[in-house]
Parts: sequence; structure tokens; C-alpha cells
Amino acid sequence: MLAGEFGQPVKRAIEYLIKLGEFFGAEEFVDIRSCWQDCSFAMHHEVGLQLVEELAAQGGKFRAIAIMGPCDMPEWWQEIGQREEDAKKTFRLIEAYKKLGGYLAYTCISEECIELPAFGEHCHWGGSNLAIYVNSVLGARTNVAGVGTGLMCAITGKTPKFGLHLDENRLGKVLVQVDVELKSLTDWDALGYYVGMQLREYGMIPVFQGLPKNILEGARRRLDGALMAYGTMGMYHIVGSTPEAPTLRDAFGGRKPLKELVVTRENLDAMYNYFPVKDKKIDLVIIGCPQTEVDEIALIADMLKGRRIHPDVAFWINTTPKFKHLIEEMGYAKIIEDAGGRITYRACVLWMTPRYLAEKLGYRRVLTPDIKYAHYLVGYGMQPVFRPIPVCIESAIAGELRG
Amino acid sequence: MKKIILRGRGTTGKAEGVALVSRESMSFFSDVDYRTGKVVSEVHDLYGKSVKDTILVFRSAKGGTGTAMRIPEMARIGTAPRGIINQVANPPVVEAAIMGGIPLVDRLDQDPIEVIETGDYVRIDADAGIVEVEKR
Repeated sequence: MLAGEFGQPVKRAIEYLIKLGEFFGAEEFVDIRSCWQDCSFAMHHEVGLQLVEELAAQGGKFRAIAIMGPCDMPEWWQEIGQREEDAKKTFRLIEAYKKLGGYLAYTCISEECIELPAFGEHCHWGGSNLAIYVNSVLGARTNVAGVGTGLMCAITGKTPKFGLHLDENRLGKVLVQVDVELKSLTDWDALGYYVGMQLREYGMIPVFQGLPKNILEGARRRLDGALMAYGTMGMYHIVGSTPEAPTLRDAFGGRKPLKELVVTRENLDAMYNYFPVKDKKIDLVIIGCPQTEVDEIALIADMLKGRRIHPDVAFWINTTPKFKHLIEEMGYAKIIEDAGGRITYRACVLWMTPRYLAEKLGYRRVLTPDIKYAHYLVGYGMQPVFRPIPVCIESAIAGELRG
Repeated sequence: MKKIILRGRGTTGKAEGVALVSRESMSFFSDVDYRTGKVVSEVHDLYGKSVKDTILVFRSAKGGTGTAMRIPEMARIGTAPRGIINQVANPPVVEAAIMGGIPLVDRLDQDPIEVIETGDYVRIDADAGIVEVEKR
């Protein structure tokens, strides 16, 4: 590859991956069958857009199956005042990725991706909540990384073997005893966020004890997303549930935990108050970070049936295009749209120029049942509040926070 | 003039310039405005300073994968530091440094935050993992 026999893009990509691997002491490359790759201008910036376009123009083709994440522009970008110049950049990036052979799946929830890696398989699913799912739930192996690494792995079909690709780095480090019954879906956000906040150093893999063996995907996406908002662990174990942790001993590889945490109801309640209410009025309700599962949409449709969202409140749900047929067929889309809400099957609010939305378009006071949204939107000049789903729905109808 | 040599782990390339030293971690998402290179977080110890064209010394990068293209974008528009020295570099900042062509070193044999002061003249040879500090 280095000699250029596979073309300029592959040569360039392998040169980058060698530098990255050498820095982290990787001794070899592993072949990968699949990648998950971000598809947003927000994460790429102009420099990333130019790079992707250049590689596409040089005839680059992905050697691994590349599943693309959500983009910046919802189907209704013009209706909510998004700028043409921003939309153009998004569409250029999408075109370039399509040319490289990326699948425009617009998804950020792992189980809805096209090609799932198997137990023990090496892959490169660098996005934070994708990586944590792949490592923890599937027992496949990936590092967490940014868009540059993802791009280069997809082009070469290889990744340097370091970090979470190696057995010794996958063992649990911190014992998390969950001494609280998780009553609502958003309690899983609160749990993940609280634990992630305590484990900000790289490699601090938590081992949960006291969680149920089988977890609804609607709860799972919340735990995954919230753990990675602050956290950088890229992986967790649940004793008796996830594949590398049949027992506590397996999870820690026979070693002692470096630290122990006990999570109580008090800790979770504190997360609901972590984002202070400055103003009861609401401009925007958003759901879907990571993307909303279909059973959550069913629940939301049930609560919205025959009712109207307050005219001053924008109500946006982000989900994956793979659910579109089901959401329409079941009548959920019509109920939500009749109530005044919007669904996007491709865009994430985090990428939808949130600073511009807040400062220029007045979407400032945001209510969300997804703590990862709340976490990131603070940095864009928004005032997020995190509440359970029923509170979000009732507040959207009332036009102000109810509960 | 007193010279100090530090040895550690590096990416690739060489850089030199005047040091700007933080005793804290740094987020290229929320602490720094990438468009100007200014530190905009009021609670950060470099608040109001510019990282542009400096040899930037800090503990470690905060934040996740979003860092990875922010630093190359800063390099493209000319607001990036010339070199980065960390106590321990995290994967996103290493990715960012390689992508942006900014030499980075970490895991030095002495704590860079203790040895290097703002205003010192610093040369980085990232291929060799060597930092040369000329005290001002």
C-alpha cells in the first residue's frame, strides 16, 4: 500500500495510520470488514470536507463496508431557517462520501447498521456511542476515534492494533454497584451520565453489577450515549449480561477494581437537576441523541394522539431511516406531525448549526429527555433542561415546563 | 542561557516557538474558539490568551472525537499552535495533531508543566521525541 500500487488515496491513508499506530505502540495492522463513519460537516469542518472531496476525486474507494452517520440537514432544513450555504456544504460532503462508497445509512444506533461485527471481530466503529455498543454488547473490537481515523481505516480496510483491540485493555477497571431500580428510560441517561462523569480518564472501563440481564434498546442507547458524553472508556461490562463478563472475575480478569462506585437514587435525581431551569418557557423540544428507538416513538405518539403541541414550541424527533417505514405504517408519523411535531430520518440537532439556531433563530430554551443532547448543547449557547419523556411531552403541549 | 532537554514519545515533524503553558486540561471544543485561537472559557487559566503560533503545553485534551478535525481546521485557517506538549496525550488529540501536521510529544521524562514556563523558547523534534527548552 505504501508503494502506491493501490493508488494515491490508499497510500495517503496507510501513511497516516502508520504514524498513528507507531505513536500508540501498535506492532501490526488488523484487517477490518466494517466501519462506522461520521457524515456531518460539523465534525469535518472545511478541512475535512476538502480532504474527503480530494480522496474521492483521486478515485478513492472504501475497502471496508462504511456505514455513514447522521448529517447536518433535516429534510425540512429550509422550513426551520437553515442557511443555503450551510446546506450546500452538507450535501457536498454527502456526495463525496457516496463517491467513496460509503452507505448513506444516516444512523448512529448500532443495531440498525447494515453490517454488524461479530464477537471478537476487529472493526473501526469510531463514533463514541457506536464504539461503546460494539465493544460492550457485541464483544467486537474497535477504538474510539475522530473522523480522520475513520476515513483512513475505511479506505485501507485496516486499523492499527492498539487500545481496545488488545485483550489486556478490555478488562474492567471500576466496579459500579447499581443500588437503585431504574424506573424510567431517562433513568438510564442519568446512570450513564453520572458514571461517565466520575470516569473521565482514558481506559477507566466500568463493570456494572445490579443491572438487569436483558435491556431494551431504548434504554441501552441512553446508557451508551450518556456514558460517553463525559466518559472516554469506550467500553463497559455488565456482569451476567455482556459477553466478556459472564462473572465478576472475568470482567476484571481476576484483578482487583481500581475504584468502586455505588449509585443510588440520590445520584440519579441529581442528574435531573444538573442542567438548571432558568426560564420555564420552552422554545424547542428535541428527542434522539443517540437516535430514537421505535418503541420510544410509539410511546410518544400515544401521548400526543389527538393533541396539539403549543404553537410557540418546535418539537423535533431524530431517528434512523431504517425505522421510517415502520413509523409511517404504524401511523406514528401522522400522529406526531398532526400534533405539530417534526421527524427527521437523517439529521442530528447537534450538527444542525445549533449556535445559529440559538443566537439567530431563537431556539434557546431547550427541553430534552436525552442527557447527551443537554450535555453538548450547553456549549452552543443553548439552555437545555433534562426531564423524563412524559414531562417533555406535557411541557411541549403546555408551552412551558411542567414538572 | 540555560537549556533543558526532555525526552518522551512523539508523532512526527519539528516545530519551534514561544511556550504558552497551562496547568489544566484543555478542550478544543469549549475552551478555545477555533476561529481565532483565543481561549474563551472564563474559568480556564489561559483565559484571554491566544494559542496561535505557540508551543502549547497543557495536561491533556478534554472532550471526545470532535477534537479530531478542530485542530486541523485551526491549522488550515492559521489559528493553531505550532506544536503541542502534553503530560499524556489522548487519542483524539494525537489524531488531530497528525492530521493537522502539528508535532506533538508526551510522556516526557520530566513534567513539562513544571519545567516549561510561558515565554520559554521551545524546540520540538517529534520524530525523536525530544523537547529542547531555552529558559527566557
